[in-house]
Amino acid sequence: MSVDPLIMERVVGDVVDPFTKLVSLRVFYNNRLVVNGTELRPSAIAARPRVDFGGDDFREFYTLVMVDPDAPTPANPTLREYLHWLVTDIPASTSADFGRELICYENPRPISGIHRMVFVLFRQLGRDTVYSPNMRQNFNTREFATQYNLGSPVAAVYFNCQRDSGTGGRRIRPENY
Amino acid sequence: MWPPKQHKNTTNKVISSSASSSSPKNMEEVWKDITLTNITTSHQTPLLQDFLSGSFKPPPPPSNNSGTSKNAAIDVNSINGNMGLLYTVAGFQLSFNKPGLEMKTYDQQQPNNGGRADRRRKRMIKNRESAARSRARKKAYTEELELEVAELVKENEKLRREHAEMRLRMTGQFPIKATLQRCATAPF
Repeated sequence: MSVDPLIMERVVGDVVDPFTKLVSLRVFYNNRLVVNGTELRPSAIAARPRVDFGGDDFREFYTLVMVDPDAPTPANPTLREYLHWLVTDIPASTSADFGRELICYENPRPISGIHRMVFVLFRQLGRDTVYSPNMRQNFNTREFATQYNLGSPVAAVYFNCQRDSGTGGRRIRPENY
Repeated sequence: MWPPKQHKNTTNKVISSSASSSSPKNMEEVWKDITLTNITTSHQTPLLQDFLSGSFKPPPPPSNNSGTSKNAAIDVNSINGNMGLLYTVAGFQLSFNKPGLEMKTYDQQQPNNGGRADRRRKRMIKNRESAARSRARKKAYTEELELEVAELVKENEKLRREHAEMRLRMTGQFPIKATLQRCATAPF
């Protein structure tokens, strides 16, 4: 019995509620497709990714949210979620470049721990219906979606990110506390 | 013998948290719940680890003020009988304080030792959560890869079939020209 990786990593749960994937969402960093759970270091994700997605009607507009639910550290995520990128009014079946970047892309630079970085795609009710929040930290994707009538997500992708000099979750020497 | 209410509380939480990798949030909530109940019921509650290592710090009975009671004697049978239960509550605090229970005095722990045990305990919880997260991460990634592989294999088969079909159809259509042809921009 296989469980959706999004549920296993608790992306569904911490960031969004269970949803059905309706639209294909593909995120590329340096022409490399992001697979759920893949590891990318800050140096690889310094520039904003290319985001392609499906959908059939050009008259439909989508919102893309990129959050870090493990900020500042996964053991104690007091800033959950940290908003790294917000693009709205993206026409269907195009890419994020065609949308309006409300919150500009900020290169994730986790200091401690291995963070999940989540992309969530929503379908908007209409054009120009989504507005920018005040702060990046303590963003709440669920509330944001209810506030702007975005409904359930139509797609989501996540990857793992730790600082460039991180040891990949493995300790080289046992720490003496 | 032991207050049944408190035991039910802690064991239920243990069962829910020890079942497969629980999310850090649940663990934290559970931890907060337990520390809250302990704060309300007793001052210093002994650690399972400390208890098992022999240096047991008896909690003061509620009638006296803290730190001065030395006239309690532990009912040895009750402790032995409940060891099985104690073992299942690894890492969590248990409140031993029951009104009317007599306790023998063991070596009193110094405040520094108590602080150290505190930190050790916290560290253990954090480590456990981190390990659980690691396991979930690993599982999720391998699951994702397996799904991808299945998808790609399917797509591959489909494309191969289509390609073979198309090949059959195309053989008769366009005769391949074997000769080179000169175009208008040729130099000679």
